[in-house]
Amino acid sequence: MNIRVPNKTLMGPREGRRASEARNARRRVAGTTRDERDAASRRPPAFARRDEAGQALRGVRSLEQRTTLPCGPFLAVHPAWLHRGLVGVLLGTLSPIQFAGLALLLLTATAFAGPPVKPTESSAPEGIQVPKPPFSEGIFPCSSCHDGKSMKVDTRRRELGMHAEIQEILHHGPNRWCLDCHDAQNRDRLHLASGEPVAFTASYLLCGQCHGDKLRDWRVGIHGKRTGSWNGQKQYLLCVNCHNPHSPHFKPLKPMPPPTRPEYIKMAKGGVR
Amino acid sequence: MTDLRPTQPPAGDPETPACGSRREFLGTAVATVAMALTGCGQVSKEEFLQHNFRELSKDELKTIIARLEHEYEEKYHKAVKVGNEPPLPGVIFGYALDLSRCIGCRRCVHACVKENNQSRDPQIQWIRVLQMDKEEGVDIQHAEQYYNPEEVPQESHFYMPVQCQQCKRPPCVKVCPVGATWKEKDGIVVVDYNWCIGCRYCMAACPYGARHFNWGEPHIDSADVNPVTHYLGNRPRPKGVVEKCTFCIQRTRKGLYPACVEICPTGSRKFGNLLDAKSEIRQVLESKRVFKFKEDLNTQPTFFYFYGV
Repeated sequence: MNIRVPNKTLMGPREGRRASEARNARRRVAGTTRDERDAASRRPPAFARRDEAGQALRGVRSLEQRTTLPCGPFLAVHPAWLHRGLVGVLLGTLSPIQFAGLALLLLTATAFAGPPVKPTESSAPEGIQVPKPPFSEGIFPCSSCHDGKSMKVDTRRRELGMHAEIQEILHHGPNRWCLDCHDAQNRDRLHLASGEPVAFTASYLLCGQCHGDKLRDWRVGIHGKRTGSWNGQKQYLLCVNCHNPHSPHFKPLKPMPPPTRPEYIKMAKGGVR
Repeated sequence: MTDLRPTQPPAGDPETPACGSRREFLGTAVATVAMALTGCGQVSKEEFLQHNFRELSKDELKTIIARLEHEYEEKYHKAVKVGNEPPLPGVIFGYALDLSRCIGCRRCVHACVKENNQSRDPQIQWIRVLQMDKEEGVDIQHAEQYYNPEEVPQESHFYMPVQCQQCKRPPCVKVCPVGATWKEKDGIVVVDYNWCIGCRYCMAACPYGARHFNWGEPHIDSADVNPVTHYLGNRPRPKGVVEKCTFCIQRTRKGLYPACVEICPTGSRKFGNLLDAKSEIRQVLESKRVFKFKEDLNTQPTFFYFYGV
């Protein structure tokens, strides 16, 4: 019979010394041991986290992983600070003047704070640097026409009076319809099959719903094109930079001139053979 | 680098040297006699007495680079910078090419020519794109490099660009009788154009046809010269030496991608550090079907071909 031993004691008495050391080592890497936390709460977080930000340039770093609250470019507020401040007041270790200073600091921080995450034009939510999507001239923002007032939202499948250039070439699997990808409520966004809105700069999430293998390869740099620096900042091209989303097959190109056949290579002046 | 062509009679005594020491006197005397015998009046005394790149001291290299930059400026009427960036520590370069995506558009060939100051006339190109039959697979017997249709890719064909494979056991280095070519620490096989004697043994030894010889005086319009160069890479070459792909040594040692990677419209070309587990090249090697070209020759290329689909 299989007896399952509940594994709820993290610091169990039967745990060997080496195991606990290994666990501590793991925690140390994650920066979550008690010493680490204390140290983190003591040092100014804006500087403490800078080295990590440098590392984050390379890879994908999701929002959940952020440990500083996003408060604009001038100040990063570490949660431990808030905690310290409140506890300090409660325990009476902070003088009222100190507390006022702290409060002022926090107010300034919130004044500079933008919306929680404000990706710049060229950066997608995952921290991946992407160029602007290749919109046709003057077509974006879509809401300049599709504002929901002058044009009523009509979700029925139909031949459109507009966007003939897209309807003509639309060739992306069978039974495709604009609102499969474009969001009816906010035309400046796309949406996933789940209805979750997606910015145009993160359209790869949309493509990845069906082409998951390509998205997986694109994330690690196998599919698609990267430019910039092989050991530093890279620019990723979006799916739509190479594949027209309405007709995604890669278009044939005219080849550059072939090499000259050796028999036709002229010797430059002074050449001998 | 001697030129055996008896063009002009030796231009008399080169500038009379300041014979400070016995060593200098002998050096100059030998150089004068050698130049008189071989008839190469175009090579300066300094160039004639120059050592192999790997034996140069820092000061010697500095003066040589200054001399080269001066020569290039006179020739092309613009400032040409000759760098000598050393290999980056902890880096071995690797390259992978996606055969399932390459469409044979030859953008890489021409970007390479431009970046690496290859002679336009007589024409030298470091990358050769082979058009192959899908039915035959990778088979050199059925390869065509002069294809020129209206549009690529063509039906039932695939394309295989071939350039220097930067072998781990390079046969070209093994056969060089003078040690003018060698493998750098970061895996790039380089040529010292000032030490090469033009015997072309390396060309015979290379199974990939990746080495090219300057049969004539290379010609590049001064407007087309790329002024950012490397001593072992894309600096303008003299006549009578062998040259080859260096993974754009002048770019990659500064952290940039090679020119062919930057230009490829299909993103078929992948480049990175083989020692970095997160690099694109390692991801390719770990998760895709990869092969080495002419693997049976045991040259152990650091250039890989793979199928991305």
